[in-house]
Amino acid sequence: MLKGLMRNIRRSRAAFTVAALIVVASVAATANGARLDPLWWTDAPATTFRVDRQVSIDGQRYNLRVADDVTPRLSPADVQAIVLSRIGADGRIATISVVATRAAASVLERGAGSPLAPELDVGPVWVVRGTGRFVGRHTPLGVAEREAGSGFYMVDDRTGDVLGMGLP
Amino acid sequence: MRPLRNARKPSAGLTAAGMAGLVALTIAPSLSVSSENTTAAPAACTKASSYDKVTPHANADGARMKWVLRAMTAPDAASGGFTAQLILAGTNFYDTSQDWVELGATQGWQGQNIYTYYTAQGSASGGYSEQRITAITPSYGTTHRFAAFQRLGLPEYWASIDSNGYWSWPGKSPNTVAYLGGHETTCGEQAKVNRTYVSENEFRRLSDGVWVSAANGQLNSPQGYGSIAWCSSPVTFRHWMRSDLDPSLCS
Repeated sequence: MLKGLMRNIRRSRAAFTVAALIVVASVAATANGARLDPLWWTDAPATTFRVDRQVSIDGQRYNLRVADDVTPRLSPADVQAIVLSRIGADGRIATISVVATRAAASVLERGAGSPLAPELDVGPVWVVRGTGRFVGRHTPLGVAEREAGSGFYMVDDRTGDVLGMGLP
Repeated sequence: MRPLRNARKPSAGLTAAGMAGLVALTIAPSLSVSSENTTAAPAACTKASSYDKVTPHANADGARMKWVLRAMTAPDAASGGFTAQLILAGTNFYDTSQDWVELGATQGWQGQNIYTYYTAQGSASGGYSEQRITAITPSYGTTHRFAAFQRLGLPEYWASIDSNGYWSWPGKSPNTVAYLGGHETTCGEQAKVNRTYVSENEFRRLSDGVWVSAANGQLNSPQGYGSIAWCSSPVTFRHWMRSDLDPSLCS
């Protein structure tokens, strides 16, 4: 009985410590003038795909993945054209995935950064990785553009607009 | 999902504009760095910028500026060009030219002539990425605070507008050894930026998280298409390019 009591006390202490850490972090975040977001201590859940297969469209052979919870408005061919118009007709698509949100998209491409609360649920988002001419133009004032032979694009399924890109 | 169908043939893409981007920085010692050019537009566009560069006088983990959004044009937007008002903070102890987090409002985004907020980052290893901020839309004549700062002691910087975080960039740590604020365009020969007044210019002191006003700054307009001038040196300033608004005013 005494052992059980001690175990419960230890558990309570651990729970209290975790709660205290969260409170302290929350206060610190507020002091920094920023709001907490769901991605603060954990990543978005991994996406599972109902479609995951090789396709061949207009001479481009790549892996197409469609998330379980997504019924996209655009077709892979639409997205392929959007990306090829930017990376050059000689570009090659390696994978095209469509996921529910920007949060899920950022899990697929770590170099894309992570959306915070206001941007988390924007989607569905197409994530395209390939090779070609990827150009980063928002470089520091007075510094040349960055260019690489591989990279990714993220396309908003609702509008066909490019939400983001990155390299390599 | 709709059935797969033939892809459209790609159009031009990001090619022509901005190819002559690498321009040596020059430090202008005078109060106003100005050289307007309104001659006929050349066939190609070149990148141009006007900015204040600050070297924090204490260890810093972020920077912020507040400015009024003004009308801009991006004549080469259809080919991927843009004109942007922005702040850019150096990260990982690197100069702003090598490793940075950037945040601002841009006219022209990924081939569309739209006006939107955005954020971008580059790393010393050569990586680069950019993201459009869609949750809010910029509006001319409104004043906003743009901040890039380290998140809670973690190796990530946040891009924040008006104290709301919109994007997190991992792999970014202090110090912010320098930061920039001003405008940039991919078509210096033709673009327009109405006079933009920067009313707040601060870095965040690493030791205690307090925001501190800049104690130094260098005004730069190396390509000569735009202009920048102090309002109250070395903190507040204004910058413009072919402005419709009186460039002598600080508002």
